[in-house]
Amino acid sequence: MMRALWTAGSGMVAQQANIDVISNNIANVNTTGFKKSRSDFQDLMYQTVRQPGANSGADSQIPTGIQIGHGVRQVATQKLYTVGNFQNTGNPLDMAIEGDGFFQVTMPDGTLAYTRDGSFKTDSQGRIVTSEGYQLEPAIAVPQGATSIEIAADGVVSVTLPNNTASQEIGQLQLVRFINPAGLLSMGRNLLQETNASGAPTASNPGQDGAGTIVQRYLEMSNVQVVDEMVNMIVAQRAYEMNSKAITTSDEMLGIAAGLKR
Amino acid sequence: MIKGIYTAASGMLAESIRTDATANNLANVNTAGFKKDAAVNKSFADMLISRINDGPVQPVGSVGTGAEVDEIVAIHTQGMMRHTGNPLDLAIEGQSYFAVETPAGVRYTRNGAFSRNSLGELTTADGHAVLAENGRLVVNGSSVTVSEEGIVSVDGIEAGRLRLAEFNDEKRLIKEGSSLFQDTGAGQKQATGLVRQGTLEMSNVNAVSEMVNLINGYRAYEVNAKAVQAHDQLLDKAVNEVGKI
Repeated sequence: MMRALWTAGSGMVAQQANIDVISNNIANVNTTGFKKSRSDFQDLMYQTVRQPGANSGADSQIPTGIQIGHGVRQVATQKLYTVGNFQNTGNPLDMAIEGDGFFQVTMPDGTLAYTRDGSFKTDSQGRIVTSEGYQLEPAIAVPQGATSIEIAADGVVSVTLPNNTASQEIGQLQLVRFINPAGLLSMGRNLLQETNASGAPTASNPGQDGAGTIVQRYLEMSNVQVVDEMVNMIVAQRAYEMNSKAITTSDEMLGIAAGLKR
Repeated sequence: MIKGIYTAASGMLAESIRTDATANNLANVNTAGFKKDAAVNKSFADMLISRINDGPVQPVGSVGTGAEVDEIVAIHTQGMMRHTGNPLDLAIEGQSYFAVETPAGVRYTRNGAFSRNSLGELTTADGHAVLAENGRLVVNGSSVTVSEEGIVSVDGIEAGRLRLAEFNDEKRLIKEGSSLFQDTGAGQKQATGLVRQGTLEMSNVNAVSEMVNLINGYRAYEVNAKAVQAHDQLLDKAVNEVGKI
């Protein structure tokens, strides 16, 4: 049957996947620490009907040949680690990372996960945890009755206790960096997991060895730009539509071919 | 049988291949660095017709015998530039190509949606290393800047210079799929392209002209089909009416 049917079909599949990625970005426009993804496409293989460069005579070559493409494929959904907007919340346990790095949290099964979502809380034992209750690593516990918590740009956490004017240091936050953060695996719930592609994590104190600094009482919002996503959505929809036109056209051409025989 | 049937059918075949090429362009309308294909038709060799039935043999002219797709040629014009803000997205302004190391050898691409692997090397989405003038390029650092000349600096320290390739005869680059071009003797010259960081070159497919090509191919196909039918009707008359005793 006609190649164009499958070629245009691959185009529709690719644009559908593109819309899926765009919708997820838009759905997470207000998710703290969310990083947008983007679909990357590549052309599929080519069928060589006539080899370019083949000899067409004793002293002449075919200059271009005939190569017919077979459509497109989605090759990656790349996470883009540009900085999101900072929002002042006033909450002492809200932290944003200015620069590179991730917070490290311990999952219930003991493995480590990584996040840019800095909306931390304390649990019943005073430990600093994520909204899901996963502990920050290294663990930091806030003593009961602490009247104020201060987190410095370099990650030193200190509290003021009642009847005590001097503040007391209770822990040191660490940030984790990866050679290739785009290679981290998204687990959902704002968490990321190490993979072979991301490389091993390197932990350091905020502000050292290229790690970002901590901004207390701020949250990093998503880096989704609504206008960009809407434009991408329009582009993807039109591309989808044009590919469907290519399908109907080749279908009608096949109909004509079938109609030749009366 | 009647020549015209084969002539018109060759036209249908050629238009069908042209439509395939158009469909591939439309499928890749959002593929970064994609270069559109144009299908060029040519006529078969003409046949010389001679008068032989009465009197001396005399040439009376020539008649065409149909059309075929002569070449499908990639059009290497600049695609639209799209700003992405991602430091590893690189676009080339001008005629140059990025050199990429694949298991099959060095290939060339205009698709600059690069990323890093776990060793910090700059790679394509397929994981092929992007080549600098002295081998692979390690961009392991928090800030990567690329100058217009292709000099890559990581945290302010020069890490290497991108290997840009420019060709004398771009027609000799053949498409391999996966956004890669293979050099089949195109002849390299001094690269003049400028690298734009944080930008992707989109495909150079013009949606409007491809839609026009689609209509054009469809109608040409339809007209050729009508010619086949007309010839068929003529044959029908010749066989069933003229031949009636």
